[in-house]
Amino acid sequence: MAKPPKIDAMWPLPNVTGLVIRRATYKPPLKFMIRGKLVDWRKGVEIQVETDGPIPVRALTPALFVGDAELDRVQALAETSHRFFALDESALKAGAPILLGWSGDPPPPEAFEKAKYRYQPPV
Amino acid sequence: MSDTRGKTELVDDPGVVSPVGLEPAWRCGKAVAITGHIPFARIDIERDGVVWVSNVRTEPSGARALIELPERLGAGQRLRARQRFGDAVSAWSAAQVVRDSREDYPAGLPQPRISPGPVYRCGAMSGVENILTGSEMVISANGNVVGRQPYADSPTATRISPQYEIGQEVIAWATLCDEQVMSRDYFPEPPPATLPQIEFYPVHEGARTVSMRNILPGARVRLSRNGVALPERPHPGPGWGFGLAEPVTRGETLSATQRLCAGDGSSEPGLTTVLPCSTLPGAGAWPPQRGDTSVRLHTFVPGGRVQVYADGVKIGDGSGPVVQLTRAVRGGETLRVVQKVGDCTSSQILPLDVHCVSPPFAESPAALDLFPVGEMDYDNGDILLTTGFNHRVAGVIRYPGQWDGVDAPFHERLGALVGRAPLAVFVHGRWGHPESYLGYRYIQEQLARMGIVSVSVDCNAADNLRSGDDMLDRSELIFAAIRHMLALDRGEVAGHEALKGKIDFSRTCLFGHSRGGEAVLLAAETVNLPRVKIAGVISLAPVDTSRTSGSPRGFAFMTLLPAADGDVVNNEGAKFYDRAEPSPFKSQVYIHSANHNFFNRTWWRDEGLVSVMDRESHEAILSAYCCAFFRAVQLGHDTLGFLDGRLRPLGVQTTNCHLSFRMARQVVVDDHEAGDGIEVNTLGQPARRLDGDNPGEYSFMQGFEGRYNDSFYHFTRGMVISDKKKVTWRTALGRARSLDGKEIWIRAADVYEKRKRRGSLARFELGLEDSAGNVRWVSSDGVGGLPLPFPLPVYLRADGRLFDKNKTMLKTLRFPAACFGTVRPRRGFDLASVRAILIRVDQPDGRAIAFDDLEIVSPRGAQ
Repeated sequence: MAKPPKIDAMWPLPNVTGLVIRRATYKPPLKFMIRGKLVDWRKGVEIQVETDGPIPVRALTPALFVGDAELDRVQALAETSHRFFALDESALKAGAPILLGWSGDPPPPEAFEKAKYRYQPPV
Repeated sequence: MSDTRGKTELVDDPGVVSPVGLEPAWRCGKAVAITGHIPFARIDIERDGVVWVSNVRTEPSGARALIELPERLGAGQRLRARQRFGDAVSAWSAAQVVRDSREDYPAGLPQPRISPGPVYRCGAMSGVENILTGSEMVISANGNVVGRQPYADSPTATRISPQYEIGQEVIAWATLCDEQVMSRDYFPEPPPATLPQIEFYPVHEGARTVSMRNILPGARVRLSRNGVALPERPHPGPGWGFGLAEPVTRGETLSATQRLCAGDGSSEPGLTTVLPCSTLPGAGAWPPQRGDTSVRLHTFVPGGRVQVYADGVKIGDGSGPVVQLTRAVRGGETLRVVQKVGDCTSSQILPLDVHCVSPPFAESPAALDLFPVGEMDYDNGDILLTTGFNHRVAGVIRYPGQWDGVDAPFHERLGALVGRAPLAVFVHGRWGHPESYLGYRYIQEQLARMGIVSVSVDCNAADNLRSGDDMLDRSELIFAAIRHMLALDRGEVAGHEALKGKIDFSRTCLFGHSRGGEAVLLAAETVNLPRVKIAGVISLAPVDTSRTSGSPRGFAFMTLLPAADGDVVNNEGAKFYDRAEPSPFKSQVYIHSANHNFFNRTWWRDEGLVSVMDRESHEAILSAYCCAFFRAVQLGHDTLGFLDGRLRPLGVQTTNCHLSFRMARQVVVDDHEAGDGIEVNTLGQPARRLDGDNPGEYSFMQGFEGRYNDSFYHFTRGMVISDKKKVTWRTALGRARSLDGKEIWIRAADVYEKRKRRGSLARFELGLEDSAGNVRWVSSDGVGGLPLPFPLPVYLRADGRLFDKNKTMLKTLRFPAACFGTVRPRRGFDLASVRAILIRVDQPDGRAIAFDDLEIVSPRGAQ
């Protein structure tokens, strides 16, 4: 079988230039809809990501993949600065590779092996 | 004459001619319209059993013939028509009972429109459409009558004298009984500096009608034959033929020029040479379905004659686009369609198989055009949303107006005689452009023309993701828009009283595209506004970000999924369909060769994964299926047939549209959801393979344990049959059931498998087994068939991952029980006593076919 042709990423993501993991408290609480319920989000782990360019605008949102966990609740702080909220902190494993991707479309396993950032639980 | 294979001799019995079609007739009408007649045939009209009009000669230039009547029609009169050609006399047509327009159109006659447009200075002819046959039609310019037809058809063409001038206000009027309705106003434009050159469609020897393009509406056309000019004639424009007194001959040279104003000169001449008989193509026809009494053509020569043969015997002789037959066609029969122009007969005579299911075409549900369009845009400034962010509350409103334009009064008779109009809310997705909400005005205007108020909500600021939950923002902007509509309805918005007391919020429908497609589901689940009930939701190419329950219920639901979507590449709306509860129905349209963006007029980028249909085709599909949905849910119109596959909308690339549909309260034989194994169906009855090991039951979800392969993007479980040997699967019904009048529906798909070569279509057979053990089979090919998986390219991405988004997407196939047999026959299979349903797959290449949702359906509704 012939090798498939190469394709540039259709929606190219910028490179991650910085990343901060923190435990945050929100006053007033953030408001999230989760499975049809409005939730007051008062505290939790968030990961702030800086990039070397803007993230393309499309229907899918950017997501942060921490090992098997997908953080798809995202808030844009600036064109190149986004924070991702972990709604289920227990899914975040210490040492797990962190990669930026698209919601519902995790990067391949090889990419995780080369990941520059790893998850360390915040204090 | 014989067919292309020379196997069947076709006997042109001159004594056989088709019945004609008789179009709806109206009280006070002074004419009726006939279709499907042989050019130059003579027409008889019968009224209440007595021949009323006889021997009226038809012309060759149009598909419809308008027959003048001696007096005006009365409601309840029973009309029939027939044609005479040579010595042959057709059977009478199906009867038309004369209707009272006040019953069909309680809010007034449909609004006429001048078409084709535009209206040009010096224009000497205009076409008018959207009028009831037999109405009087008048065109006025600044209040003076410039064109008149005492009885008109739709479309109709009328001479304009004196010709149009700049600065005039041109209006078309239709009058029937004591009702009169006017078009919008048209303002003549200057003609182009250089008039375009006319182009001819192929002309074959013997033709008495010539078709041309590039004719400007109202232009005077001069046709020359072999250099001899014929008298100049005004022409209504594209779509109309040009009749000739004498047939053209082989090799003859035709040329045509057009002009508008006398001093402005004519166009360069367009030229053609008359083609010989031998090049006359065959007529193209859609396969008919069992029991049809007509054949619809998709390609034919205007002004030509078309004959239909079955087993060499002529059963139809008329003209396109719909040829009536002398009898109903039978399942399994093969027809042959012959095209004639003058004495020429097409050399191609293609076989046409009669199918069990080949849905007839009907006018697109988007074509209903009753009212002018009122416009009312709004901008209420910012409001504070729950997420703590401010957002502008703005949108565009379209509604049925008394006339076209901004803040036009609500249509007076609609309000007075029909009552309040339902509301539709449009919500765009994330595109990052401030005009996204303007992109659905074409559907909003269609809805206004049929009596629905709509608002399209500006959600642009939510696109920037600043709030942390743009989906919550979008849902609140939907509520803000509805609150604004409530305020308009209460008359609380100063200066905008047109909608005061005019909106019915108990039939509200929501339409969302992309992220808007999930937002409307969230809004439907969380709405809490006085008087507001969500009756239906449409999600076009939605995302699924887990904001909703994921299981739409409590309202009718439809999702449209573009197969070449380059943004929501996983077609996430399929999961919503799978999990939706039919309340009272759910519908899915999977659209081949469609991208994500072309449904919104402001989203210019083609992000499709492959070459896709043009934007106009995207819009035609969305308009047809959405209007079918809105009309069924909000107006109670009988348009569900377009969603469940009983009808196909004209003017839409339906071969690209693959439907799934479920109604509430049907007998589910097997949906594979119970988890108690492949050997027990949903009725609790045994199911097993009769000729080997059982096939598997699998997850059809991405990433789930027990999935068949990675090509499924559903949220359901089903059965996959894959075997190089024949597989016969039997699922029992528990007790013998009468399937008289019922249909068997099953969702099925040709499974995409990366390494399998595929050329031919996958197929299976569905069987019914009666109490005596008799079995009858019908092939999937006979009910529309299974398409190949829509082909997407497989790429290697920059990150090293294979980008393979080819999908296995289920569609619903309908097997009418009548295709299997009859009730209580003297011997053989008995439809009144069916005890099992069988599936037979015989794919020597081992190709896999997926199945789900096997149901017994009562097409008329709940059992």
